[in-house]
Amino acid sequence: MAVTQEDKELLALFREPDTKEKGFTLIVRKYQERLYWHVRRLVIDHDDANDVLQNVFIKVWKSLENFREDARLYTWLYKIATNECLTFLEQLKRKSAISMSDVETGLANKLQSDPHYDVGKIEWKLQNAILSLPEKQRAVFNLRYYDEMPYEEMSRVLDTSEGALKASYHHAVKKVEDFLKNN
Amino acid sequence: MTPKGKEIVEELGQIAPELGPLGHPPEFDLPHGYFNRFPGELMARIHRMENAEEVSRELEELSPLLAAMPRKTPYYMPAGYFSELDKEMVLNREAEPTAKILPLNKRIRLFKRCLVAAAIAGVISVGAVFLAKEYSGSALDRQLAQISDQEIVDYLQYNTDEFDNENIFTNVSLDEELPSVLPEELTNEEIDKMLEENILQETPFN
Repeated sequence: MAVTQEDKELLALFREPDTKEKGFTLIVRKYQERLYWHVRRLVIDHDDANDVLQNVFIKVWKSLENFREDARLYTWLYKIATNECLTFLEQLKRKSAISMSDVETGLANKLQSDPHYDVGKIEWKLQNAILSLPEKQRAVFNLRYYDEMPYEEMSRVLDTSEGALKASYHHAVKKVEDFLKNN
Repeated sequence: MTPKGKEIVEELGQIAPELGPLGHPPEFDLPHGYFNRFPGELMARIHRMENAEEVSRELEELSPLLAAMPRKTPYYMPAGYFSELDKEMVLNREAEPTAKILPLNKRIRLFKRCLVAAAIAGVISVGAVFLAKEYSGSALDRQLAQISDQEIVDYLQYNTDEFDNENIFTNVSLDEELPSVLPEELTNEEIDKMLEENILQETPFN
């Protein structure tokens, strides 16, 4: 799927030196919310999500010149955001290897420290269930369940075959359902 | 004015003569390139709707429990976060992506390398000890095998005392009857039988 007309106009603005900043601001404004929630669901904490999201947009600023319009801008942004999240979680793992703690426990603690956290509410139980998934499967689940992303686009974002993603999502749904029934 | 348009003006003049002739319609403000974008935006919206339906249908089949749940993320977020983010991004656009993490990363890698090196050294040391034990045991056996019976007899004759002799004899039971397997004590039939049994045991059946 190619770039939409609106994104083409934003890219044209970005490529002109006089309107580059305006084009970038409009791209940030258009995609910030969707990308923030994608990042936030993976790293859980707001401050971490803010750091990761800023890194994403800095990378976008630096490499958007080279963006080829044979893919959708939205897919390209999600790919950068997902990679940044996975890198962040990898760094978290390395840190926890030294402190002998568990990444999942760390993320669960961050979830529980949210001011709105209420273990009795079903939406928080669902968050705990999603957190029990391995991180890449969590990304697949979130992209499908929350972002309603087609497998074809998800395949470009995660560099994985559509069949493997479908199997991963189906398995994730079953695991989440089991978690909700047993907890 | 088209004939149809003329008719409409005349009709209006008859219904409401005070209204006067119709002027040009006011120029409404229209976003730049609106009609160019419209078909694409409409198609994108249709695709989103169709995809959302497909996702819901799939979820309904996989897990009616999850499909019935509200699909919202309940996390707390500071008020006005998004209204400030684009301005913040324009200010920070030239920044390096959180380079401060790297030194810690390097330290972690160094620590990991040390751990791996220590583990390898441990495995090599333990392996060396086992090999040495194994090697020394088999070397002793080889050396013992090289000693002839005569040398053992000579050694025992010249290096044992009364106590050793007594000890050796008490450990050997003289009451036990050893089976006699001397060929001259066996009949031909017994030898044939024994050979047949042993050959049969060793011959594979397929």
